[in-house]
Amino acid sequence: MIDVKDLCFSYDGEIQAIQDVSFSLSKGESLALLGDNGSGKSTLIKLLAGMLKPDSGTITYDKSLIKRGGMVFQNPDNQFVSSLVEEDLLYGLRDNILSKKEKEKKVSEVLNLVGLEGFEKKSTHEISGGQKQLVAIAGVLIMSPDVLFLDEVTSMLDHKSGERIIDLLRKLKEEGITIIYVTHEIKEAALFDKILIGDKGRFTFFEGSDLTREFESVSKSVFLGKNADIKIVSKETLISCEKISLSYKSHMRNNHNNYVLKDISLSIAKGEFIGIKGDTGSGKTSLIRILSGLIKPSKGKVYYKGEDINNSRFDEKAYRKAIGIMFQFPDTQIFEETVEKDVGFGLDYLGFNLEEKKNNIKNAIKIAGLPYEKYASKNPYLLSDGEKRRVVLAGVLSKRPEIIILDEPIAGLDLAYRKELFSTLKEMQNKGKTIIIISHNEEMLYHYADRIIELKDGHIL
Amino acid sequence: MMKGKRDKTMREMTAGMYVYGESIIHKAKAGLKTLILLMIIIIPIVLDNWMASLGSLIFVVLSIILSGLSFKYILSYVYRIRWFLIFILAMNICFYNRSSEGIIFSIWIIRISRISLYQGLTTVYRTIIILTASALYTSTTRPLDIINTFMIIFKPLEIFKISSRQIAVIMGAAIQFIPTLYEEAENIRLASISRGCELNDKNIFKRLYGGCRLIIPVFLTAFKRADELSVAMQVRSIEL
Repeated sequence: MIDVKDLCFSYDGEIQAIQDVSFSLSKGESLALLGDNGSGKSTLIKLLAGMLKPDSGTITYDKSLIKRGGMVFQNPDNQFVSSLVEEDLLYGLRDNILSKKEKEKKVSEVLNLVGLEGFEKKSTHEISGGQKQLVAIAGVLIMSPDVLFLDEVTSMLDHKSGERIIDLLRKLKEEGITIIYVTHEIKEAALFDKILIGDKGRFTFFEGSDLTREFESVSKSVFLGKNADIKIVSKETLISCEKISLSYKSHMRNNHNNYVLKDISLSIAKGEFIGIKGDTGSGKTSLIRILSGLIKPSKGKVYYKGEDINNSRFDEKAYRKAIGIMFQFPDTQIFEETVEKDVGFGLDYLGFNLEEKKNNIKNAIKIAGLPYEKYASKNPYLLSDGEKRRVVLAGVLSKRPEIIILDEPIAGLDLAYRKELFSTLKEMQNKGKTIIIISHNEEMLYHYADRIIELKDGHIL
Repeated sequence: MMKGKRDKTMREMTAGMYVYGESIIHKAKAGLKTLILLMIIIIPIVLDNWMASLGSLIFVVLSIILSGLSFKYILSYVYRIRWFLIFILAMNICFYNRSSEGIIFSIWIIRISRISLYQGLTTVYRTIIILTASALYTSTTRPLDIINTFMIIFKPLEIFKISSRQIAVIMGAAIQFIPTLYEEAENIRLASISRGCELNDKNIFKRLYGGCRLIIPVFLTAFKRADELSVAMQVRSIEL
């Protein structure tokens, strides 16, 4: 039994992140913490897991039933202690008195439980995102927790991997493990016994199957938008690729090459809105990096307006100006100490004069949905994840690219931001821009994209 | 702009992480491998003769062959710091010898002599051998075995109330983190190129300037990663 009473918490005594939260949860029950970015759900789960101390209020665990917990975060890559799956799981048993064989048996059992039989000797760098998150959960499960704290563990995963995790949680719940789960997916939250919906630190408690049904209907109406009518766009081919493959050599001498992409051919017309979907590890990111000229394919050619972009005579600088690409993680795309400087990063290299630069920065920040005066002098490293993404988007838009490529721009962000971003992109398409977007959110893609390309194991389906 | 710089995939470049294998080198005890690694580092410096240097080279080459790992993969360690090695070589050759003996070429403050040539080449040669042996060590030794070995090595520090376990875990995690950090740095590099930064320019000064602007983002990402990893390690099991 978990009993929470009048919980309050503030960062630095100023921003009230959690206000008077009370609820109770029995052993084996599941609770979803639902809310937009900044609603306080991540703070609340940290308080429940004991990672933060509340300013006031109490969290009481019935120690006869619940003794131990384990937490898993959004990004599995940041949670591995070892590059080998078996080693990573064994880390949790380092103080255990079990023999080596017994420990290895336990590793196999936990991997079977999460559906990763035979993954013991695999490298954590070579498995898919969904599999990584399952390994991260296994790393916690091996220590036999009574409560599992999960902070947006599916937000970076494709639909199938996300469902696999949800299935696993159902199984764990049947085994008596209490689950506390942070999400901003209504359809996911609707699957839990109890739901706390947060808004600026205040949480409303819901329970019961009636509510679940209500949420299911809401989620259907919100998420299952109809595919937009396919527009007839310009026939002018802007980018095309011909039988491109990307492979990397195995680290061992006797093994063959591994293919990330194989024989991909496609053409994208000016003004098209293209959605790219596929499982994690299917080659989506590699494909857009090749299209944008950042990596070279092992085989095949990429053309921009009929010119081979990897030809030594191709004007790479003009191509950099024409193409704007935003990667998945904002932290790796911030370079300067103020928002204004960061948005303008690279414009000098591309030959914009001072006036153009100023105008472009102002416009881009505005289009990205940030008030210029408020944000221009702020340090981008200190902004929230959602704000950082907007800054990065502004940086991409500041050079007024003809083609905008976005890699998972909405992962981990709330519905309001997703809708706003897609609407902005749609407006840009109407102004003649070509949009290529990778997303695990199929509903959004079907709603906004003219055409969807699905990748599987490096092939187009 | 320079072409042909973009033909590596990220997965190809993550040398340093443990690669599962069943070879005799993989199966050898971590303690023994650590001892041999230390000998490869120390003996050529102490003996300072060509026999010791040649012996260590032959030993490392044979070990790579026995491990089954590809030479390209192991040597990618050395390739990454090629400019640093060239810099060491140039500094030693040009400035090592301050006496007037055996001068081959001299201009302004630069004095190239037989001694400085020998010193430069020997330093770079030894660095390459140490890097290659270290890469082989981390690629064939399980991370937990490395941590356990370090714990034994640092055990005497416990006299001074310094936790050998903490140091071992920090060092083990740091070794395992190198490929991850390299990937992060690569992502930052690609992101900056996509924004127009001239990191592939033929002009070395433009490249250096572009590279310097990436130092802070790389460090900040590294600190953030390290912080996230330490939290994740702590909360795998929470006493409630």
